[in-house]
Amino acid sequence: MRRLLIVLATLFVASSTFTASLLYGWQWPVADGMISATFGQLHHGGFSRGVVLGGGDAVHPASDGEIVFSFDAGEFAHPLGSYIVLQHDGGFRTLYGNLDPATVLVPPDTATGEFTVEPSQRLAAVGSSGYATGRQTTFEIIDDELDAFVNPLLILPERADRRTPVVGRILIERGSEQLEAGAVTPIVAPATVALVAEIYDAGAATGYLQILAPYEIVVEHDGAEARRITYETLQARGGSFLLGGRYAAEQLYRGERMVHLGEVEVTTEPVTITITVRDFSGNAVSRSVVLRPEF
Amino acid sequence: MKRRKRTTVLLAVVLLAIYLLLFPRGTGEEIQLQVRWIASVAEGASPPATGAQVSEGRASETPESEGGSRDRRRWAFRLGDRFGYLGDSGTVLFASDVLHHVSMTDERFVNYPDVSQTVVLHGPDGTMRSAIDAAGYPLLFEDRMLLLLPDGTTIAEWSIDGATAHRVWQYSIASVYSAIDVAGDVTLVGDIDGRLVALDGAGGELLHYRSRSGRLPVVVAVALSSDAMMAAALIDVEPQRVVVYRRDDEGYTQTAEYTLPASLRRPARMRFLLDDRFLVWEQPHALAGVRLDTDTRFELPLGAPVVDFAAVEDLGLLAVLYASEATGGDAAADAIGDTDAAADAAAADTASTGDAGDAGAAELPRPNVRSGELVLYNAVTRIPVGRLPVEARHFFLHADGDTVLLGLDDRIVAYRFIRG
Repeated sequence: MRRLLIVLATLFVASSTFTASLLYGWQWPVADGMISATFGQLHHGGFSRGVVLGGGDAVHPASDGEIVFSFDAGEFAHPLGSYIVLQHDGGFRTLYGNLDPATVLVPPDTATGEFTVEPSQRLAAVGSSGYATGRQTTFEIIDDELDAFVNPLLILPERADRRTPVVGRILIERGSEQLEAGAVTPIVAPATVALVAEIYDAGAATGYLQILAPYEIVVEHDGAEARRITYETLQARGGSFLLGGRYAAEQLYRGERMVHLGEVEVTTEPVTITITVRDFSGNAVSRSVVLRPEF
Repeated sequence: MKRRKRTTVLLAVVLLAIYLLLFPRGTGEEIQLQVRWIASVAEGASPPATGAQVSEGRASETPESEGGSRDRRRWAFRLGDRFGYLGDSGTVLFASDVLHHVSMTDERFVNYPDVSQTVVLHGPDGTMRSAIDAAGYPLLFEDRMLLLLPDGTTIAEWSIDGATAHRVWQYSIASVYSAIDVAGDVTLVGDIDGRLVALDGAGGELLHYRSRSGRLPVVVAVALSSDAMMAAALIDVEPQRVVVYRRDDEGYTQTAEYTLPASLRRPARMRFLLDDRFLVWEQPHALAGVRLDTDTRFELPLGAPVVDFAAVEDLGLLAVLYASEATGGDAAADAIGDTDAAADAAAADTASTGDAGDAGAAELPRPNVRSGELVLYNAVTRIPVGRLPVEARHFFLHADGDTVLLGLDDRIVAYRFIRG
């Protein structure tokens, strides 16, 4: 927990240039990789455990480390394809997946081989092994102390991004009924309705729309915080992964970009719902709707 | 005078020792490998042939006398990019090219592409049996099917009855899985962070262990005994350990632990063999194991990394296939090594299949050819009782009863064992 607090404090307290990447000296594993999926977003029916980087040529260690495990070919095919796991200082582990199997750095079968790697070394060429639709690299970070996957964007150097996240349609669900919320939406009261919103961060490096997860979603009811969803960690509890230790994918998502934001009680007074979404570069967007009771 | 006598005696002893070394006497344990048949699994292959007998790498012609025993058994094989089924008499019942990967049992297979939303199950004759709408990589075990979901951490079990196919359970291990085995209704999973989880037939946890003792926790191999009463894992790096569990009313309880002299940092093979009396695992250039009833550990040094191993249950033998990594080589003998004996075997093969273009003639050097041996050990004494040099790019090893199937590139040789 201590490490994550340091990381978060670094992100929020210090300037945007002084990030955890400077603290730990980390680099992006694929220099020209385009982010095609981010941590916590709905990916193949569950949470993405890291980032997926499309394109690029070579995969390098994100930081100095030691090879723990190299899955080149086993007795079964792994959906992450050929992958390498590195151990870093501070109890972090990194995983590099979908590598080109013919080029993967395989540790020797000896007790005294050279197992340490540094960022200038190539782990493998970018490949498409495993469950991959093209040349890509799956990059994941595991915090041993937290026993969780950590969002790589908390640790890797910040990438320039001036595009604000998007809050699109806001839906009000009551039982099987669903209606799109306007600025002021009449609700037959009293009622408890579910709030669902189209939320995503737009990828910055592509000519077409790339749906990515934001860093944080905050929901306020009449100015009071009702829900905060941060895309920082994924922890397994009883055989399921929970975002921030709280939300399962099937609870949080109603589709690729439709996020369930909790319940709202509408009784006698109008309720102002404000949804604020931030990305990792500090770009933010807010949208408010008023749920007006009707009797 | 006395000194000369002593020298003479010493010389005699040395000569005797050299003689015994060069021409060892039989111990009665030597195994002759009789070739039952040779099947070509290459595309457009000719029918199987029978004939050569190989012992300690020497081949001789002997007739196959299988009479009336055709295709009582069926064996699944995967050899390089080819897979399929062989009948008991060496008939290629079905053969095809692997798409991305293939998972097989004797009763069904799934040949799947790298990305798919559907799992299509086929019978051994290649006919489609059923299809399941699910994304991931299937793993077939007897009458069970696991699906490895694309996230690399989640495993689901699906019923494989086409009419009522449904997900039985789904479980996300806390990190990326690195090793999986199944026996009975138990699933054993290891992950890259040194976690070991055993699940029952409903996906409930029977065992949840997290290694904290090694410098680098990781699970590189797991194994379940045939009745799932024992579980084992090859775990951690520096030092690497073998942990053994026994199932009881509470789940699994650790019963043994062995610290190993070397560590593998890649997927390794580990199996319970010979009526689950032995636990055997891969080591760097060696096969190691423990006889569980006597807690006797052993290590069999090999000349190169283990390719695969199996037990010849009827004879209490361990068949170990090892081969070096190589980048080229002269493939004068296509199927079996470059020794005289191997050349004999290849010649017998050629004669019986009539495929003169495949072996014997000079060919261009083949990249990635690996050379090694198939060694047969008495499992109890660990004495090698048979050796066969091998050379190929792709290998396949399977043992069943008294038969060993050895696949080398595009042909599979079925050996039967004869003592003496």
